[in-house]
Amino acid sequence: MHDEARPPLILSGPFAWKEVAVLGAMGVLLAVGLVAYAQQLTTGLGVTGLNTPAYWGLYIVNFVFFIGLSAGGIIVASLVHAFGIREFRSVARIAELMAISCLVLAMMFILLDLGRPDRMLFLLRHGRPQSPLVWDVTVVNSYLLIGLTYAYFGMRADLVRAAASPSRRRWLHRILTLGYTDLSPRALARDHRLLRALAVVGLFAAVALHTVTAWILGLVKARPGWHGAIIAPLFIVSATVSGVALLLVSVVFCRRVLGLPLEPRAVRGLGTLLTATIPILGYFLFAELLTVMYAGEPAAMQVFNEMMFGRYAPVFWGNLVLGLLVPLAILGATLLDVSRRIAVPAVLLSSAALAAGAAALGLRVPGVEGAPGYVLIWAVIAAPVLVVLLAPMGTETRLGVAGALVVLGVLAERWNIVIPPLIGHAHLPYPRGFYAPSGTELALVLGVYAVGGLLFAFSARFLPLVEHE
Amino acid sequence: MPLWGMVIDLDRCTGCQACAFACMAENNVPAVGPAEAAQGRRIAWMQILDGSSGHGPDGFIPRPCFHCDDAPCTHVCPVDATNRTPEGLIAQVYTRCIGCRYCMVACPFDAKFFNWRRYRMATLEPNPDVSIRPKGVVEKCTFCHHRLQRARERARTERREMAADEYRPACMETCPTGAIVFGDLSDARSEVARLAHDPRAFRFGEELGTEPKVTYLSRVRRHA
Amino acid sequence: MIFSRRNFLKAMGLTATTATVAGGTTADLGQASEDLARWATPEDRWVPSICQQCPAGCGLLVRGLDGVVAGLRGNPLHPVNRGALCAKAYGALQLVADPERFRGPLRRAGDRGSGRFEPIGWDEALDQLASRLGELRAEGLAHTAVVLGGQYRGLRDTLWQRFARSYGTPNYIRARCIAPERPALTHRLMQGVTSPLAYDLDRARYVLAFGVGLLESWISPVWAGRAFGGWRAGGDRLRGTLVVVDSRRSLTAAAADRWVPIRPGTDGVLALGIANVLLRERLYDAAFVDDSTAGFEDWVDPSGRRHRGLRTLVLQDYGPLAVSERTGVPVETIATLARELARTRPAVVVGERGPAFGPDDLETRMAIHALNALVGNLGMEGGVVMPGAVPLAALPPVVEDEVAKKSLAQPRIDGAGGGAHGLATDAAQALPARVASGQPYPVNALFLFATNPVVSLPAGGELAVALGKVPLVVSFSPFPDESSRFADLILPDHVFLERWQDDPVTHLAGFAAWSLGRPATRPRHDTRDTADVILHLAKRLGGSVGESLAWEKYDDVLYEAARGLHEAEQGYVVAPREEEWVRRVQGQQGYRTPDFESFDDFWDALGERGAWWDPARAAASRRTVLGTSTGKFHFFAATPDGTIVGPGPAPAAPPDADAAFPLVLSTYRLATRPLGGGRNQPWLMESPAAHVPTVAWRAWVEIHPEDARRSGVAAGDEVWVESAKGRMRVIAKVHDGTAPGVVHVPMAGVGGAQPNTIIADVVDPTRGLGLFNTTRVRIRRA
Repeated sequence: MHDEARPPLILSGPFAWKEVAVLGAMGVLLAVGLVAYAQQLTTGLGVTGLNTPAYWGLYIVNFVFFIGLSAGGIIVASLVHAFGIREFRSVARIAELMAISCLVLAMMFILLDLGRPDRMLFLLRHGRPQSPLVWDVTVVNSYLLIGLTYAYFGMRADLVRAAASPSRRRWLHRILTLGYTDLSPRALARDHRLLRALAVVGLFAAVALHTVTAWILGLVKARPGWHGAIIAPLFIVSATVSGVALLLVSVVFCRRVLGLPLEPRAVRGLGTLLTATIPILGYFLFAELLTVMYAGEPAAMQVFNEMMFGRYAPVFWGNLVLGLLVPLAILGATLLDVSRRIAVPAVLLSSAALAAGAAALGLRVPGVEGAPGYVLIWAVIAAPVLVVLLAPMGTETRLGVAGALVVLGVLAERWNIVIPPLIGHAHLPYPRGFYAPSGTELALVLGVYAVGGLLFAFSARFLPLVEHE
Repeated sequence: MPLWGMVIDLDRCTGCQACAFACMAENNVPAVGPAEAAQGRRIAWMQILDGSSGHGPDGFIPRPCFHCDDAPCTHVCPVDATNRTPEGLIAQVYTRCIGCRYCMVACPFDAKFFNWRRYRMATLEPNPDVSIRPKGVVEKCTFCHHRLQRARERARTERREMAADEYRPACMETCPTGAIVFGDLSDARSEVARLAHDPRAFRFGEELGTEPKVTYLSRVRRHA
Repeated sequence: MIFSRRNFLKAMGLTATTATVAGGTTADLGQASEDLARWATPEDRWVPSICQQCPAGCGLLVRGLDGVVAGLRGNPLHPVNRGALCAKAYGALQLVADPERFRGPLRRAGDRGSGRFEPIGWDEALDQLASRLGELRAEGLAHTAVVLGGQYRGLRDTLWQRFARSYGTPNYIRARCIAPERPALTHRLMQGVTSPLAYDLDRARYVLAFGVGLLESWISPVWAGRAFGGWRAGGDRLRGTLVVVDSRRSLTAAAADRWVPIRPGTDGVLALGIANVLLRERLYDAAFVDDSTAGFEDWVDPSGRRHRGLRTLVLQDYGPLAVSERTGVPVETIATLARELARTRPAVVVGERGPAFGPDDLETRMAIHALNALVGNLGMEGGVVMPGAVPLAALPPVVEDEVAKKSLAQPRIDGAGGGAHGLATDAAQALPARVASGQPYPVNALFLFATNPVVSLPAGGELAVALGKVPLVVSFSPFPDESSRFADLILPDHVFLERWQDDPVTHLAGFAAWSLGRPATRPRHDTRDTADVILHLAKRLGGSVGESLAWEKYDDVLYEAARGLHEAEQGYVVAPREEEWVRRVQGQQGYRTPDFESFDDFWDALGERGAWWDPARAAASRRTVLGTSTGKFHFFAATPDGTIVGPGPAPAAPPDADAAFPLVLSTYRLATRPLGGGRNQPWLMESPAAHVPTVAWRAWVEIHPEDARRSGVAAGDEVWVESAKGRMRVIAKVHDGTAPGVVHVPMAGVGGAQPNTIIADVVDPTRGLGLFNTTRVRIRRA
């Protein structure tokens, strides 16, 4: 168990240049975001690209995305304490931190999306229990409370130790202990039991969190593409995938940029977990797609046509190829340590097979007719895998790149879930809708990302983020 | 208790848009300007849809809010800013709305509109009976609810019952061909109730079960 | 300060608020009481007015809130619209509020056309103008003053006529597409009428319309819409049938029972093809044709020349196969139309605006109108009828002094009524070239009233240049526009809700009506009713001009004229339906109770209710509608220069296909475009038409999918429409409601796209305007 004499692991040295660069970039993004926010506050949501019928856009896409990331983070963190999976022990707190940061970001996105943020508290004062949005507000807030409690009890012992250390920042840690000082084995054991209970609750909360978020969309009968039972389980799976992937990226970042002494086996473990969950996500997507395509109901088909072959087709196919297939191949090859001599022909052959499959299904790349189109498909699948596999980088970075691709892929998937049902089908003969985010909107989104990055980076620097074995 | 509803005769509708403009003038609906309109942000409580230009039925379809008796928008509103009055009107409370646009998303008929900015009225004086919407809230057709209030007040000061035909929305009043009929659906003798059971009658989105209180008439049976 | 009701209430409000609300700043209280007084008890009135957005003359009720316009609705008592209104009417609310309106009279401060003006006082401006006009008159150049007027009618028109005549200029020229208060040329020639005929739409059961936007843009869309609603009424009423022949699927065509797409410009051929079936199947009204028409059989003119009669012409040249070939209308359709037309009673054929606008416009119209004679509906209920006249009191005769007589004898500057334009009453399109050339004489003064010719005439560009040669240009426009830019003096008119108005309606369905509109709001700026300005100017000019226009203000003229209505033994001030019903019953039994004790009571009631009308439609009588010398309907007529005109396309062959410009431009009027184009009416600009839901504040071109493919254009593309004269940038609307080979552009475009900039500068010989449907164009992506 814990060695009471051992100091908690908190970074102390000066900021590395890499870290400064990252923080600086985040700061700039944040500043731009603030300007954009001022603009949105004064002018209204008109500064975005939203319109009729694209009532919701990038903000809601990101809201759903971050709820998902958060739920994924908590699922990993809970695994450690609820099931005692030791492999991830050293990254449990990072997962927890990530979950909380993402939740805060999700809340920020909801706030950004409100036409009247000044009336935000009406949600509490006048909340109607029949509205899925109110359910979500309840669950998000409850979850935030659970998450913070969980983080507090998980880190308390280390915070107490840090507060007692001669560090310059011990004042911060003293505040964060909330006045607690007991480090007796009995207290530690109690904390541990509490943590375990909270982990189980957290796991359920995470499921609830993402289920309710899915219901915001899934219970709307007006929008084919949302309305359906599969959306909640689909959200849980994609949340897990994206959460694990972002955690993988964060861990790699912490190890390589911040130099936190996280266990390498956690990286491999996360990679393995990711490799195992991606196919499940693929399965769910396939199940939904097949159901819609086979039934061929006009309304749902319009939505799926808009998604797969409409103006946002690059997002769909990009997600499929770069967000699922490519990272899966990279993960597989890296984790199995497949030698280049085998990997390269395997990638070339399997991607050629996929291109051939596309040809057989009659899929076409718009603008590129005939054979060159299929060569292009082949190249688009094979090239990124080969680039990552052959480039001079470590195993860990390779896994990190795969994780980043998956994260972006899930973001794209969120787009595909939110946007096409809004503009792809209307029950009355309206002109076809269109949505493209405006510059202000993008700046605001990036600004919120920067908040998340800063939150994470500062926490990583000032808090005891690594749990000892 | 009356149940207000509308019947629109598509055989009579010429697509002239008189109802749409009457509505704008009556309800202080602003023109949003070239830049905003190009972004697809026009506000039209009453809107003439062209069924021949896309999917859906042929011909022009004037679309007010359908005031669904089981309105999906009222179910999802988190703050009770849109709700059903006892007389079946779906109200929108501008001072309560937080601008989350969930009701717009939930409306199968896209009958709700958002104030993406503060739009200006280009008239000398707005209609004093209808409030001007601030930026950031949702608005929609109210069946000219203020006219009901006015008619009620007038009847009350004259110490009598309000007759159903004293309450007529602006769109009905202006329609040159008389394609729009409005009245009390719960009164079986009213013209609107009679027409709502006409063999030509149909409603949009029947399969969604929202029970719209706007019924359409067409000699050619149309499907939405 | 005048102690008005409003001020009193304000004071009350202030006291009450102060008494009840303790706390808050005094500024708040002041504002609060202001609001209270403003919103709780404003002076809230509905004032009758007349819509001037198009020439239909619908009655309005304008809501005045403390004298400021705050709403608009149809006047439920008005016989034309009965409370209904079209889309355009509501734009008037924004017309009044236009922030760009001239705030008072202006004098040119920079170069001509620079758009720089400086304010000037009304008195100074009128003095200057009067002295210049006086000089011209003294020099014997009165005829070189030209008045160009747009679309309006009634006593305002009368005042301009009186001004022109007493001042001594023959050049009071009107620039407008239709003149509803005058008889159509076709009716003049074939029936010899001197006042407009009406189509009895609401009582017709079969209406065949050639290219007429009955329900959207013709003389009165609301009136036609009400008739249409009647055709569609269920129950025991017989359902009316509307058939529209048009190359474009207009709103009217889309709403019709049948749309007959036709090759543009061949409407006359189709009409004669229908006549062919009527004759061959003996479906025509033989009794009427034999008794009351001339030119049906072959005939010999006084000079001894033989002419083919309609029968020979139609049977020889317009067999269904040939007609089908020319028009693109299937033979069965031609036969069906003829049979339906003949067998459904009453049936009426309408074809006044738009079918051709080509060089054979007159022959086309005569061919179409000949069908009315063949089915024998002239003077019949549900057919072509002669409405009653409006019995306004005659104004004192115009005084023409010697100077005036001499200059009135000069030829018209636009050449209307003689030479090439012998049949035209106005030839505004010919004006620019004449002004530029100084032939037959140079123009010394040009008045622009209710028109913006630089844009509204295809030859407007030419006019803008020619204006440089006119020493004095006076504009009465309330708003800056392309023409007022070239003015030396701007004397801004009120917008119509701010002024007294009158409108005689005699062209709709046999009833006669006269509407009176009171100012619904106080003038927003230092503007003056142009009618008043004419009177002020006349007073300053004095002499015979002053004598002919000896009124103080325009409402005095109205008051004087309206006396005739009161004294006439017919008609009454509009009243609620029940009251009118009683009156009708009384009328049928031969009583007539005078409504009002005195003329002043009558006048007040007129101002409160908005109109006088005589619902007793002229008895169905063939005699009233046939005013020719023979008392017969003439299938062929002689023009003043002796040429014989009659049904059929003109001998001139249609323009050959042109490789450089493969498409024909055809224009149409939108249901949402008011007179003047409406660019200061944001509502109308934003939703121009329901069939182009994504177009706002822009103009578009409608193109057939086949032509679009050939031109490499996709739906929604930005395109150039180019003619030999110019080009304009619009959005492509690809749809099958357009005939192949034709592109359709709405008139009075917006967003810088104005069809007149590309329409060829040709003068329509009979109408004096441009040929709006014959210019050849090409489309290419911008």
